[in-house]
Amino acid sequence: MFFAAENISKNFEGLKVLDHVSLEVGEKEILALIGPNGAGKTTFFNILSGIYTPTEGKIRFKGKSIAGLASYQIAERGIARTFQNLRLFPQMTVLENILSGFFFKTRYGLADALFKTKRFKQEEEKDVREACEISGFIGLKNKENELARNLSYGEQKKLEIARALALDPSLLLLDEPTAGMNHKETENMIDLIRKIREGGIAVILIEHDMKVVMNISDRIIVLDYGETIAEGRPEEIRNNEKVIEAYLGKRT
Amino acid sequence: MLKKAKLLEIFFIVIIALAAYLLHLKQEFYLVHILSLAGIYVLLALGLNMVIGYTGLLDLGFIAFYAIGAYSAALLSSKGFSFWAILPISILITCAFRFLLGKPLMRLRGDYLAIVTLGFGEITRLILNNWDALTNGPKGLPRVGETIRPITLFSFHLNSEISYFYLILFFVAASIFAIRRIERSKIGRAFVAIREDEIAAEAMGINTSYIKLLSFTISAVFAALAGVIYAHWIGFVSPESFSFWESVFLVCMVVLGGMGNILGIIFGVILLVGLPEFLRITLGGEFVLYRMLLFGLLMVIMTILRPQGIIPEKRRALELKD
Repeated sequence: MFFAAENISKNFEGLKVLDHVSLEVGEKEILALIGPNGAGKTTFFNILSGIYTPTEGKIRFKGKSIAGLASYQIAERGIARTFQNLRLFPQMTVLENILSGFFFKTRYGLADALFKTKRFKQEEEKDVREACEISGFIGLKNKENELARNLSYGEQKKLEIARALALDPSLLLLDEPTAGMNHKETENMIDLIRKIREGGIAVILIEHDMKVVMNISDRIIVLDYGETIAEGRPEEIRNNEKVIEAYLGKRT
Repeated sequence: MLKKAKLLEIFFIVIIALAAYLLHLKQEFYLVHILSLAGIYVLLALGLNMVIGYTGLLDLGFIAFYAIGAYSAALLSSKGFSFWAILPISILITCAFRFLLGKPLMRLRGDYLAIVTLGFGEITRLILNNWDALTNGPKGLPRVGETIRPITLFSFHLNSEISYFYLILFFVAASIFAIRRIERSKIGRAFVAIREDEIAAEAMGINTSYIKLLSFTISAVFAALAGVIYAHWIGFVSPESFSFWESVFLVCMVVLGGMGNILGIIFGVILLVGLPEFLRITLGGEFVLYRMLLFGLLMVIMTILRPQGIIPEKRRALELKD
């Protein structure tokens, strides 16, 4: 399997937030992770992206174990993420935000920067060109030199995805990409996620908007109180008793 | 081709150099001395800005590394080393100390980092005060019978105030040049990314503890530079020059002028070094006693009215490639 997390558990001082959750994603697959608030979805993302280390469990990506690696090492291996509440670099420009994703790939050192060597110029030029391509792809053309904090909320959400794409990932973790968006913006986001997948990137997304989830995901995993309660195709999940119960409560 | 902004900067430096020469001709040696002092503070503030302004690490013990630079220079000079040999050695020593302190420190964030650096600053001062065998304690260096040898540049001895001012001006200009280059590279952008959001920076593939340590260590180059020049210029170092207040004073300069903006920092230094001197001249010597009160008031007003500093950071627009 391209990406597999097996039996992931996470305890915070005895509080069990995740209990043996497993998940697999195939190449170019869109997998949705849903569940009521506090189900452990974001914690799961934080484990996958190396911000937390799991108490138990294995994570394999492209045949190699990545559990316990630092966040930046996981990013280098091709897993990029966005955050539920925007975590841009607000005082930096759009372009600089995107360029940050090229950091580890850019091949020059401090000395090259100090003496403005040929390599420095070439690498910088290449990075800026690629960053402009990404901003064009994401729909932030001509905003490259604006500060991130001056963008509208929808644009900031896009920029976060653009920044993640700069890592040239093969797996993208999106934490509530359409939260707080209006109908039109949500539509655009759905198109964008599809386009990203067509570009050869697998996507795991946490999402509360069921229209989005049912619309774009190939498969859905439902978490409740840190446990997987259902897994399947959208139409299967829609009618699953356990899922309805988790969201709405028991039928009387 | 030189860009317009660069020409303007060179023009600005030439103007300062000429103004200093004019003061020298009018025998206003004290004013030239103050200009040199401001130059030393600019070097220090530029270094401190790298950690506070770019990387967002609050460092309250920066002066300790200025002290290490100055003391190592004084010790080496009395052993017969020349300024040009001392300069790289002292920078290396200072950076080594900085690295060793920084290594375990990079796990700490915000206030905790500030407290530990403050502690290191105080420890350094206490060691300088009490390790008689090495530092000669409160009596300072050089010891009786020893001297710090003056700087020679091609058979020309630097001994006047104006010659030291030019030396300092040269190093300030060189430092600004180097810092600009770092600022405009991926390394400079990584510094700022860490300041803006450390978790996001790490998620973007930036090894944040390594980059923070890099920023922390490079900043010591400027502290060492300032220390070595200071020791040679004044010809004497003692622990009282490296008190906690100096660290606070430096932080004030950086915050007041504008964190992350080189021009702002220079402005902050000129204001905080120049203001007391200006007041001394216009209002008489006693007024200087109240300068701390005035700084405090200034800081309070600034944090309320303009927390980003007098000349705030401005991100440079990059040339787009399509």
